[in-house]
Amino acid sequence: MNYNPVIDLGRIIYKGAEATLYKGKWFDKEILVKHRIPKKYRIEELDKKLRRTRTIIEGKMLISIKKCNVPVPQVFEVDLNNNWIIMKYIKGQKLKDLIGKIDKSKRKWYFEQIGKYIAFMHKNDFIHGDLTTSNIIITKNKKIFFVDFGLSTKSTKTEDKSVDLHLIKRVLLSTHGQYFEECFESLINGYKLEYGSQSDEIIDRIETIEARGRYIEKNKRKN
Amino acid sequence: MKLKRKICLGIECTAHTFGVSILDFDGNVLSIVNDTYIPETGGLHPREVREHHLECFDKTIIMAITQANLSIKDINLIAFSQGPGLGPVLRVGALIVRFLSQKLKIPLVGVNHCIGHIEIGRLKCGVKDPLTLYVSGGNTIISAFESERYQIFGETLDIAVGNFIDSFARDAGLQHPGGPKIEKLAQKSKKYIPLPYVVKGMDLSFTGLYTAAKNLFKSKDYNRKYNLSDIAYSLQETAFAMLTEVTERALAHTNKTEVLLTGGVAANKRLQEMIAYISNEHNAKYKVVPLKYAGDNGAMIGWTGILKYKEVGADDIEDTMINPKWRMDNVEIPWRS
Ligand SMILES: Nc1ncnc2c1ncn2[C@@H]1O[C@H](COP(=O)(O)OP(=O)(O)OP(=O)(O)O)[C@@H](O)[C@H]1O
Ligand SMILES: Nc1ncnc2c1ncn2[C@@H]1O[C@H](COP(=O)(O)OP(=O)(O)OP(=O)(O)O)[C@@H](O)[C@H]1O
Ligand SMILES: [Mg+2]
Repeated sequence: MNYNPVIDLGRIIYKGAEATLYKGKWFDKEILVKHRIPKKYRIEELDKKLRRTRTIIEGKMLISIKKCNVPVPQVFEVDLNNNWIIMKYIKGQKLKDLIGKIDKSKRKWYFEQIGKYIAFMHKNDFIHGDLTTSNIIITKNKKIFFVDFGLSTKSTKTEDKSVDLHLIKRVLLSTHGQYFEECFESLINGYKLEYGSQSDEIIDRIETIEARGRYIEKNKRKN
Repeated sequence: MKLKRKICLGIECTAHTFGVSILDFDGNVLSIVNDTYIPETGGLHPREVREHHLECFDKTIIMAITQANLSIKDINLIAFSQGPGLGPVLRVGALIVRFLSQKLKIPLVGVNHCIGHIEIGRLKCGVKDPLTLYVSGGNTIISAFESERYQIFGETLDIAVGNFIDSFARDAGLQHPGGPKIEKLAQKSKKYIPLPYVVKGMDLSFTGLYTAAKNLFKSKDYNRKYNLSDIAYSLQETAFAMLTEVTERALAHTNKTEVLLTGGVAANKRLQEMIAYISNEHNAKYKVVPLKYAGDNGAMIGWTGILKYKEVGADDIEDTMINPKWRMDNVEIPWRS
């Protein structure tokens, strides 16, 4: 591999479904390299296309979303030959790891802020596409960062915004069941506060989405 | 004197398959008999399935008991699929087991069908705490055990992957079930035609893919630029890559160290290969549930019933109401707490 010689790749911090992530150094900056390595389980044609389009999307989105005041890591370099993005390393804790270590009022505060930020994105028609508690990082001075925009899209559709909320709702249910009520309620509060009355339709749609893929559909099966 | 082993009669009755199994309380499966309704044409009609099951249930139960070299008197427990599934079909199942239970004075327990798929996999594949990809005609679910429940981490936002493949196959004139036929056709091609690839976090959507595949079949280029094998190949490569991506995402998110593949679609060799690959990448143990336990069957219901009965005893009759929309993440799992 022909990594840029001034980058010290450091060590692997995560092996995800899309990329391998390294925490390294670039001159004296702490950086994160998100390298979309080939996924050999899928055919090359599909693999190349997915890695390339997602690298492009993520690079663009990180830049545009920063402009609407949602904290995301600063991008230093998007390299489409190698399918990697070099960005600022955010020092902090994943929300996933932090959630159980703070008290209820703090949790509620964070989730209200998160709801506001999601509304910021949605008002500007940015759909995150993979909202989870792993993809939100909290820094020491309580700043909330969003990462992982490879699956993000631009869309004006209520449906797409609802799906985004459904994703974070389900992660809260599956991974943080004991805090679900307080966290999701606060998130929705923040979302409504920021988005205004237009958010009602989006929020109402969540339940419809949830009902859809489920077993009731079986009697509508075709075969 | 040797202690008499205890025996369970497990009955699966949620959809096409009326499945019966006899097993002992240690999990040895003594017999497994299925009678599956195959529609001649068109859609699945719950009432026709119900008629089919009503027609075959007594023969199927007798055959399972006979194959196990037992008599009905040897049975200590009846377990049945209480949901989710087709209302009319679940209802006949419940009717049959309630009758047997009361007439023969055998305790009865109801179990969740989806959890049955996971529990039989845990039993037969020697895995303890897997991330499960459950793919069938009615379900596409990524689940793992977390805070005392089988939680759902990802699922389809519209149709199940098996249903998608079967529907396309039917449109292309292949007989139900289409899954195995599409797999055979796909093996004859290496020509990939791009199709919509839709994942949202750990969720997936197959309707766009279905429409696109159908359009390829209807296009004037069909049998000129590409053939049915090429479509079969392309739709499998796309759908299975999607499934594998979300499974890997869930694996990284949950940090589980075992992966279990189950449901009817788990029979597919290409899907097996892909899931095995990512499991290996994450140093997780990979297991696919053997065919006879992966599709709908009575043993998965029987075994889950045994687990529940050992922990909390039998259900009262009024607790055996069917539940067509029963979600697996609503079920308490006392045997793992
Ligand atoms: N700039 C960053 N600074 C610090 N940590 C980061 C940064 N970007 C990502 N991470 C951490 O690494 C993890 C994986 O990153 P990311 O989600 O972008 O990878 P991925 O391969 O797309 O993951 P997935 O499996 O969800 O597709 C994130 O959950 C986050 O906790
Ligand atoms: N080799 C294969 N490749 C792909 N799909 C397959 C293969 N073999 C079977 N299938 C599919 O498996 C499905 C049947 O699964 P199963 O026996 O679990 O019944 P089901 O009623 O769909 O299950 P459930 O009630 O759990 O949803 C069908 O969609 C069928 O096409
Ligand atoms: Mg990602």
